[in-house]
Amino acid sequence: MLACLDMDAFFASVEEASNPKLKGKPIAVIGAKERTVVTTCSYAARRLGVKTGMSKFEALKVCPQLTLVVGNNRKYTYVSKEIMQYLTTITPDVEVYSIDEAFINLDSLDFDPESFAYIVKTHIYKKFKITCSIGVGPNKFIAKLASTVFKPDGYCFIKDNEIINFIDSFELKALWGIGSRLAKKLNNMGIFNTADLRAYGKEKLCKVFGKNGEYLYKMACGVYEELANKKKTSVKSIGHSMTLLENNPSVDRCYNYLLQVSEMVSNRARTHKLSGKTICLCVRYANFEGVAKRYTLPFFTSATHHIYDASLDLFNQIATPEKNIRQLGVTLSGLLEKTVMYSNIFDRKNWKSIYKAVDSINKKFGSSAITYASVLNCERRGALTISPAWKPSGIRYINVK
Amino acid sequence: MIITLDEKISVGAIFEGGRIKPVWFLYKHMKVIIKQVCYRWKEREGENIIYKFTVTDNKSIYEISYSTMTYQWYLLAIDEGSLQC
Repeated sequence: MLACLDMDAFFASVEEASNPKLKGKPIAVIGAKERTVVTTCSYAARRLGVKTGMSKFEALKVCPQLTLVVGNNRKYTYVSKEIMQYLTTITPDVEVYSIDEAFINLDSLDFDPESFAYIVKTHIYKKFKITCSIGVGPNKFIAKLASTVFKPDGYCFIKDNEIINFIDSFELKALWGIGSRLAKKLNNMGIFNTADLRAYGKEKLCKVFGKNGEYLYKMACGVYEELANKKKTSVKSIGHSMTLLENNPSVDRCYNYLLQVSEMVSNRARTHKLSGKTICLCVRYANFEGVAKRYTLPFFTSATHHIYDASLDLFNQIATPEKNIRQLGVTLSGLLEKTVMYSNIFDRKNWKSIYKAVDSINKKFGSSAITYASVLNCERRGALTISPAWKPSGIRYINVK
Repeated sequence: MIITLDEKISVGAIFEGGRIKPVWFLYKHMKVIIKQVCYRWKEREGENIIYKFTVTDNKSIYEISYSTMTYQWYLLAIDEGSLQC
């Protein structure tokens, strides 16, 4: 049996718990005071029509009494870490899925799923004054769906003989891997629910969707073979992106941000002893159009100056600064583990000593205690958002601001 | 309304069993008696571990912090106004 723990409106609940004045009020957590969107909102706000992803102006329009709270990422990552750590005191078979979700393998426990849910929910409420919903099922897919049924503060246990009826009660879009485009395609094929998917048949689905057809058919039968994965999986790339605050930023300002993002990527590569060959630059404009291009170096690197040089070249090739650049992202891939490369044979400076000195200063005094002077020109500095891939430890851990 | 500050303050606190319990603090020459610690969490900046608290005197909510590197307390924010705890 597997349990899926899903925190209820996590960021908003933590804000409500830490400020009793907000309790029960419609609140929305936003990223920053400047132009921004709703990261999450309380259930009171949801009832009044506020949705995640709305701009703060849209949110205030549908709910004028809404209180906007600037999110405190470090508070959320702390609470998440503590909760995930607590789960591992019950069983080591815990997969941290995201900042507010975890899968727990219940097979080795001496008590029933209901007792597990009661213990966990009581602890979380007592310690952090927030609630969570727990779904239990024979696999991750069913457990995840079950966790959504009685939100907030819910508990739902789906037994083996209830699976088919249970999944048939959901829309296709609720299934993992089915987005609105695939749902539309399935609708056009006369498939509107999981019962239709099963009736269509595995072979026909495989003909249309290839390997994915088998996956869809299995999900429609409530079969999902992946277990809770507690092992740290190796990463394929390291990437950071940053949304610029300035309207119509100058090319020089874009360069400053590129340097900052390159340093963030390099810093993580150096910390986790990784080097890579391929650098990918993504540029997104205010009209949400985007361009991306990659370049593979003839050598492995973990160094900021190499990553920055490559991304600068790519920027000059693909970016159109007149189009109002909104976001810049740099990714390092083609990774080699247990290798830190500070320089290549053409570098004249002793980069290794420089990077080691910078890293030891930042380790003691905090990230960016020492950094490139031109980064100080950036209005935004450091990782300001919690990525969906965030984990409480390892390479996916980022000490967000 | 939340007012953001970053002021050094003097705090009376109990350090017991690895836990910190702020009891009062001085702000604008006034002694604010902490009636309840609403929330506590920990942040890390390099080797500096910063303990953060939201506390209330049953009138306003205050966010205060304690740095283990500098042994300094700060008043970070005030949410003023009436509050019934």
